Amino acid sequence: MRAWLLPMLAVLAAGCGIGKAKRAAADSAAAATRVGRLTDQVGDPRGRTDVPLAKWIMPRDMQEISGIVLAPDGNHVLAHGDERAHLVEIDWRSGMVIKRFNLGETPVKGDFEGITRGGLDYYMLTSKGKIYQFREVEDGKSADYVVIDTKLGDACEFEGIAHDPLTNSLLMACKTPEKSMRDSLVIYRWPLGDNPPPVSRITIALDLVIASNDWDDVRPSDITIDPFTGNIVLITAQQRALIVLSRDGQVVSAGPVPTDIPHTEGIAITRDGLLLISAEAGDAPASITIFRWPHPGRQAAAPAAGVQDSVTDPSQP
Amino acid sequence: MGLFHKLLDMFTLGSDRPIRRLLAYYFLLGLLVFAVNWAWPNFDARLTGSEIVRMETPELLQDGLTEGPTVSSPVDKPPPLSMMASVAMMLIGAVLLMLPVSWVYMSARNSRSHNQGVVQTLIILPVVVTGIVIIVQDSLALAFSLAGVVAAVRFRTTLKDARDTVYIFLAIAVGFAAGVQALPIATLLSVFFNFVVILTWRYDFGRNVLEAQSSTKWVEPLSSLANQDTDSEVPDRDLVLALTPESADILAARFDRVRDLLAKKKTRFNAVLRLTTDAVTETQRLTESLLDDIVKRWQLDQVVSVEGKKSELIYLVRIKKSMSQDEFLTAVRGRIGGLVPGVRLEAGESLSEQEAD
Repeated sequence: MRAWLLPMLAVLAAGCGIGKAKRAAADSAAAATRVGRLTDQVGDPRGRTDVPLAKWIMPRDMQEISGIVLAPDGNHVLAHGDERAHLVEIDWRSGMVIKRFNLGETPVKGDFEGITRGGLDYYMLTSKGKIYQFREVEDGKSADYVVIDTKLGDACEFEGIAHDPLTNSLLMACKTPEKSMRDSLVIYRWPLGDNPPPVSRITIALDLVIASNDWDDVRPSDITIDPFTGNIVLITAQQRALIVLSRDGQVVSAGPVPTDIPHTEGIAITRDGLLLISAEAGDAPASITIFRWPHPGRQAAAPAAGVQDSVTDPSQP
Repeated sequence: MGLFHKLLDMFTLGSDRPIRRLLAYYFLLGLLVFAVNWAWPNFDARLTGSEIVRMETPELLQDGLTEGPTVSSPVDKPPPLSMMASVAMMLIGAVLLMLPVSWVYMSARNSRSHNQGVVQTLIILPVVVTGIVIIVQDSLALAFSLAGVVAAVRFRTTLKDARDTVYIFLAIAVGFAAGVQALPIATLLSVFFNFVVILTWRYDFGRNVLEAQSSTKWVEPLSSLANQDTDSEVPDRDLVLALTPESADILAARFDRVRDLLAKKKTRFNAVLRLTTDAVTETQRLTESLLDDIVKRWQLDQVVSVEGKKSELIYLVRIKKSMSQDEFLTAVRGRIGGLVPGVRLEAGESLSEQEAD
């Protein structure tokens, strides 16, 4: 009995190995095709900004995707879940999951709302204003972290975070500010560094933000910095709005997201001029959708290089 | 099993007390988990479902624009061997947590309400529930299918005891917890349930105070069997385990009759004095002072008080040989006759024989 069992197991194992290798090769080929297609689309300077270029369906462990942030190489995006500090790194050009890791041996539980990066350090924000600082680790590992309690949880329910490289500070978007500021759009600035200046706040009257739009309110779900202009870009889930503010708090533009995406939770802008929007699962599965970002000079000339060449670090001053 | 029992004995110092043995079991289980976790650092994450499976190759996500809508990407399925290991751990965990529950079920029951079917169900049910939950998890379609399949099967088992239902519920809860990889919750459920059941059983919680305690029901007839005082310990533990209270009662009555036939024991009292009165305290005081003077020994057996009626005092007395029943009654009536409208004397066999002689 044993005599034929071992060869049979060996054949089975070899079969599995061959199957895996075949599948990996097919995936690599599909990924290369996707990257090529996206590069062609990005190269078209007159392409529409309201038509999605790509849409990647998130895996099951990311159905409650919350924030997204670009990795230092600019080609990958790091996404995190809503209730647990579980992170997935995705090559946004091909829709390939590169790795997964957690914060802590048993992933930290919390109401995580946004993520950003300053240099090699990542900052993940909870709705109560706690910031988890950590660095990327290898696939399947657990990252160590430091918790910064801003103690702003009573003043605001936070929904998004962005690193401002010019001031080396974290911008924290307020979804629900305290009662006295309900008629304003509020963003807190949390300075980093050894001798940081005091915490400051940007408040903009909601009337100015809403302007001619038919919104009742504006509740940001994420915030990022436009790498071309340094403007503050906000996205809202309820109003499905995309709002651009200047650094001094002036409204640059406020309108609907390019296409009707429900449950928008995260936003990132690449140096290639692409807008990445993450949306958690609702009627549709969770996804990351890619649009063209109307950056200055986009009409004038196409990006000199394709997507693969964009390895600059957008958050470095 | 021998080693397991030896370990339990070591931790309980050989005690048979259920709480000690339960504590020892959970301690050993914790030790086992700790040891496995030490040898296999990812083990804890598997138990709690927080495990991250290393990716052998990058996983390609589904293209939402060209490939049409789907529920979710299939890329996150763990490798089959890893999945099997996790499922096996959940199933073993469910069994290990239900074993002490079955022991408690067997211990905290009398032999009449013991049901072997329930005992085996307690072990098997959580395994099945765990499997179902693992299969159905996150899939609404599968959940509905399961509901359909279950509806097609008729379950008509009626459990005799409401407590059996609670045990079954616990088995389902542990199965659910194991199925969603929440074994720490299942552990707490098992521990808490067992200790609550053991304590309620130990202290006979919820007993009807008008009924004798179950321990009394056993001790009295068994003491009678052993011809000992009721305060003393039941002599033979095996006898206690072998008899139900009812059969012990029957046996004790039979022994009494045999004892009466074979050897007439000399009784301490030879008559019962019954006094009917409205003034219980005064009657009692006067009667007892009289009895001290005229009888050899006496004992107040009972005071019967009924709302709206006269009270009755019942005394056991041993009347002296020198005094007849009539003389005794005359003395009683003479001392307390005004207070007691009714005086009755029931003479025992020995007194009647004594007077006849």
